[in-house]
Amino acid sequence: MKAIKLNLVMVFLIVIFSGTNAAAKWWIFGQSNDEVSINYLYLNKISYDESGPEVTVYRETLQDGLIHLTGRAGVRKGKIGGIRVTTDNKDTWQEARFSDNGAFEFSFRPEMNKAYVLFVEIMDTAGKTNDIEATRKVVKLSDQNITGLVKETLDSMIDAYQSEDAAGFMKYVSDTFTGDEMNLDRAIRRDFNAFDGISLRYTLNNITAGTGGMVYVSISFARSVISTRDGRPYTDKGITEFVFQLGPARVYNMKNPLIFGLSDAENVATGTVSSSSGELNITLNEKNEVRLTESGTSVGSNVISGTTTLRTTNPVNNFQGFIFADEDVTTETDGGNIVGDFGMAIEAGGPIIFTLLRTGVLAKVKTGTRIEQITTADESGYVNSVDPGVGDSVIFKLSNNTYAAMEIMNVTGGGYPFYGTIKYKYQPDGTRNF
Amino acid sequence: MKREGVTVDRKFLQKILCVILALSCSVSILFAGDNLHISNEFSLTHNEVSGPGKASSSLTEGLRYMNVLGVSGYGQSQGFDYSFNIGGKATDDLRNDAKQLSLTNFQFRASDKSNTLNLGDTFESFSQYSLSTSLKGVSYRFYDESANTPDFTIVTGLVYPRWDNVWRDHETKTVERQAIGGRIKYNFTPDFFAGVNVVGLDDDRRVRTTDSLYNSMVYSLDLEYRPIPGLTLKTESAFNTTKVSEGEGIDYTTRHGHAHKFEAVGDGGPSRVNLEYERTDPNFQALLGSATPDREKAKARWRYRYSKTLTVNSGFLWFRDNLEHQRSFTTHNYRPEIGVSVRRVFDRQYSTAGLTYKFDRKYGGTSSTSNHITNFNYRDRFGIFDSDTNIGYTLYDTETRVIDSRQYTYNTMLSSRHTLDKVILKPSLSLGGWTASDELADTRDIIYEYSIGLGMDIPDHKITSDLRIGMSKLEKEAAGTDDSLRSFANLSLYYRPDFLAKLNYGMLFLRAGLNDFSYTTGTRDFRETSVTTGLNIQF
Repeated sequence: MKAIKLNLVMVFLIVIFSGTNAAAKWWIFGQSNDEVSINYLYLNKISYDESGPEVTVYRETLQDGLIHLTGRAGVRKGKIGGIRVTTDNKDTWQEARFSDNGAFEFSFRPEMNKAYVLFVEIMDTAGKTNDIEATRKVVKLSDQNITGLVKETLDSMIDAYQSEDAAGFMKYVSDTFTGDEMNLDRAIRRDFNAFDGISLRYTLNNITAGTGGMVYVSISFARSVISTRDGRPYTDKGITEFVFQLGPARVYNMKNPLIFGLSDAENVATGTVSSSSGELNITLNEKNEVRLTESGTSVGSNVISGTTTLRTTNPVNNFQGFIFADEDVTTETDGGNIVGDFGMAIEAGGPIIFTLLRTGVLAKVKTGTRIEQITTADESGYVNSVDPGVGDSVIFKLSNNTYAAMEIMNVTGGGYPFYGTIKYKYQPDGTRNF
Repeated sequence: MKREGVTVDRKFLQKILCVILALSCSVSILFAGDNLHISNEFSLTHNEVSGPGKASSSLTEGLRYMNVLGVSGYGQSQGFDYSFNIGGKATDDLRNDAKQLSLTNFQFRASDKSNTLNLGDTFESFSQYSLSTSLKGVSYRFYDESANTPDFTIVTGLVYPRWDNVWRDHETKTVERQAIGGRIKYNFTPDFFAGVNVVGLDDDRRVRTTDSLYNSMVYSLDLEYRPIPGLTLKTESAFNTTKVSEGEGIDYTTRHGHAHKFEAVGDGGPSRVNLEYERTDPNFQALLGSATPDREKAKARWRYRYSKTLTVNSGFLWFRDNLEHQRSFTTHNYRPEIGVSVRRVFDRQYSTAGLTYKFDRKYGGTSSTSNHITNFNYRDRFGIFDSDTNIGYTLYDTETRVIDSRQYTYNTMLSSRHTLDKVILKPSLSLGGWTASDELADTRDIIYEYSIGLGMDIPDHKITSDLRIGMSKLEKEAAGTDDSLRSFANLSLYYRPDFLAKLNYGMLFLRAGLNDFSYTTGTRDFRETSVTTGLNIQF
């Protein structure tokens, strides 16, 4: 591990020190040997090379109604004599502002739906120029509003997701996606294994174009899927948010509840939308099983939660238990042997509840405490035998040093079998935070 | 418990905001003149859902409407450029929106050479850790490019995903979150800038007793430097103090966190290299920014265009948690990948082949997983047919027997295009399958799916349409699970008639869909039909 970290540090150091020597551009293969060249060029902060031969700029994204070209020219010998830009396919040329170190900028105010054919000419004091043809770019100003653009992109993402086309989907994800595009790519592939018949509909709640070519989007969605694990249909609805980077539009971040990449929500989502509805949303656990959990789960949370019912046919040797990690109700014990993390035996005449723990599991009763009030598991005070009642909660320290909690909601049944309903949550990451 | 921090009379702020909205809306429309644009989409949908499992449908039964209106404009007045954007949505389908009538957008912006004022929807994206979300409020920016003055921005407002949250109707009421922030950015040279950001946040008015309330300040510094041509170095460091009350009656606790990110992008010739390192403290909460707490991450990506036909993409991602040893174990993730894309394979003009391999390694505590994901894609044209074929193999392998599975995906699409007089026909056939062998349960699941489609365009009449019919069948071996069969038919038709031609854009549309779901457990069966027709106009 230390060796890997050391290697990473070395890589960064190489990059930083390479800044002191322009010749040490180890990643640039086949770089131009021209005597006059453009070292970098941006059009409204988008890399000129990466934006393709034609660029559509959206009026709403212009800071002051202008298109800005910024770049830096380099000459092998001598000095830069002048920098000119044409926007009308070389009919007329205009001077760009530049400084001695080669940095230059040029701005023009475009008209709607008119095509501008740009070339950039750098000339040194000896009259040599750059490869002007290589700088050709057609630029159009579109009146299409951002709403139309974002809607088109979201529709394409949803189409690709519904048809389980991972490569088609990832075309709309930015390289700088804050949840990391490598995580999202794997997460949607895993979603495709978990779901069949994905159906997503949405309506826009809000779109706001911001600075730096960013667009904020809030949507209301309705979704239905079939789980490939249990073959059952699931539906949910909710509100979620995205930020897109314009260039074309590419998704920059996503928040919980997620509509894409649910199987790795912890890494893909970087935030949670404020919600008051208590709406349950579809999530996936490590086994790719569908769970319905409340949206608004804190960022990065792994907590599994739910409600279930345990049956007692006989309090001595026939009662069910529960495994938190799997969210599985066990078959009834035989002879009182605990199969799950704990077994709950309900005895008539109260009823009286005995919570029996598997070897290695410890617990602590929180009398009259709701499970929602337990946000952190206690550090100490755990014992190997507890007898909670209805309305009490129990915190468990499991044998693998993870923590869980449950609240006994009620007990039903006039005689055997009795049924005890519990609400539970489980933190698999080893922290005491729920 | 009384908290320190940002406090403003919220009701007063909301009233002011409403008055500003109404005034600027009226004034803007009045002055916009020829530069006023209106778009409206009205649609009627009739949904029918039948069968014992109809509760599983995501459709609302009956006849429902939806109208989305947008008004935008721009112009110049007294040396200022201004623009505005107002939108609204009306629907009686509560699955589409919890509100029948809602304001979706309101934004008014006025700027001259160095001043920009924004009202309403305000999205000032300061930096990743400090502020990268939208506010309902106001912002002001001063920047004189010609004099290279410091670029100064202040912003304040309410952090809500929609305007209805501002009115606090009971369907959309959420915790009230107010934010205020400022940023100063200075370009020291054309190749180097630094930005300082300060953002405060204050929550109030729980909706539920279990809602957490936060009061937080974030201070951050971001830098960007281009030391040599083609190389960009970016970094951001942020520190925050967050007070949090995790429920009604629970005292505030204070947390201090920090986050740091460094990124190098090398871009030149045929290569593009990204290197990234990030460390986010467990207590760093980017409530208005974007970050995953408790994360140390290193990432490298290299895209190399070897020739005009061969490109290699490679990447490596590593991250771990438990930075402060607050957990009982640390989880490490390694995610390397490599992909090769080749055009003109075997010298075939339209062929493209791609092969990718991704590896996931995750271990920590008692869990350990190693997943291998391999995909192959081939596109080509054979005679009149375009083909697109994907084959994938994924192995999920866990030591703790969470999921051990071998999964195969395979799908191919054949499509063609024929012009018959004034009609363009686009038939297509799609075949696909997925097989998953669960080694823990010793069962095998299979999905078969196919669909046939016919697109038909009549350019002279400005008609485009598409019809697709198909089915998808899931067969499961495990006991207690359901097989399912989904049959579907979808039609879409878009028509831009001449009588709408005088508008900038006018379109009639019809969308119809039929889905029939059949399960082993018959009580889950249901069928849904949906027909939507509408009109979209822009002028």
